[in-house]
Amino acid sequence: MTDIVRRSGGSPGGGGGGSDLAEVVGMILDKGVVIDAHLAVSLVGIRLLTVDARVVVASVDTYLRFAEATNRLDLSASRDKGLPDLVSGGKAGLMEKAGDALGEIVGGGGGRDRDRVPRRRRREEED
Amino acid sequence: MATSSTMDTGSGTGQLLYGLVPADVEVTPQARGLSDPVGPVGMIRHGEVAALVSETPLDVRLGRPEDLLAYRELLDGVAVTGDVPVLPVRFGTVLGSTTAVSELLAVRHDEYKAALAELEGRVEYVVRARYVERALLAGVLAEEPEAADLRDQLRGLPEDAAVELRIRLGEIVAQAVEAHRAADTERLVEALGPYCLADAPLPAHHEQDAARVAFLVERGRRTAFTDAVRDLAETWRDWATMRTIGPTAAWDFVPVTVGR
Repeated sequence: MTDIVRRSGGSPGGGGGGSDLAEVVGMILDKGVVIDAHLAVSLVGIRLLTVDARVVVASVDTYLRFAEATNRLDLSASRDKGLPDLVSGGKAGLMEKAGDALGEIVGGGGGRDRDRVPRRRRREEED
Repeated sequence: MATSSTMDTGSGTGQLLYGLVPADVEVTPQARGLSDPVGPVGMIRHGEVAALVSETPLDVRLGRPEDLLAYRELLDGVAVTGDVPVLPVRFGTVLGSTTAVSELLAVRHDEYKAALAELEGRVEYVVRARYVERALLAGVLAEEPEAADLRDQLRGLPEDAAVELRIRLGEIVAQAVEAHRAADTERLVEALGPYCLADAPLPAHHEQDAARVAFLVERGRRTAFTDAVRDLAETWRDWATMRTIGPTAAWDFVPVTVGR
């Protein structure tokens, strides 16, 4: 019985990290059609486990993390890197990276067994 | 009507709603929804719309990671592999009986049908960009003289000293990051605009998120879209790292207020 709880905070340096389950799951929590109140008499209260969908709210904690990250920044090594470089080279490495990212398909990927998903009955004959 | 829908709720089970689909969809026996004690996936039809449901005991507690993933995967599978438009229903929605589900479909038939027609042949991608920390902070220091001054003042001071100065420095940086995020979100939307039908900027998940945007894409243009993202990722590479999730059901293009 594991509740889904996002780690609060997170250091500015800790970015990047893979597709945490929590991020993927957090994406769907407040989505979807809400069944209207006038049918509420038949809405049944299932107990939902606590799920903390994280929203970034600036706070003193945030400020201190940013200050720390800024203070440890070694400017000498990054002087010419502040802004996006629109004519970057090194294509190969990046394409690889982008390719990896695009490959991280969540749900509904191409590899899914067609039999396992609900599908149209009549359309396939019509097409 | 309300009374009839509550007649058969005494059994201690209800109908968990996953999503709404056109009525000409069928569920294969292998379709996977939530696992035991939630029952197999079934359908309840009314007119041209239908609900994907599972019978569930009312005393179950939902919300384990596998519950959410199963819910998400079923609906993404419907939309992407099944090529069927689907309106996800908010996770954890349970109606008291199959009769109640039928009534819901009857009452909201035309709205659900119209919303499904909007999503026909369309899928969603979410593109997230996260700043390269060094580039971000160096950029902010170059733009904000006060931040650069504070940084100089703080140099060599012990960690617990000058907390107010630290907070002020962090505040300036946080505000600058927010401004960059707004600008970069706009850049992302603008760059991918030609490859999508609609966009929906999403809230940041992380302090260093440069942008998070959902895009509604025509099935036939999926490759054009992902190619465009790849090209964009290349131009942004020193500034932010881009990642794409999708294709999925159109989670962020569902009219949440349908039927309200």
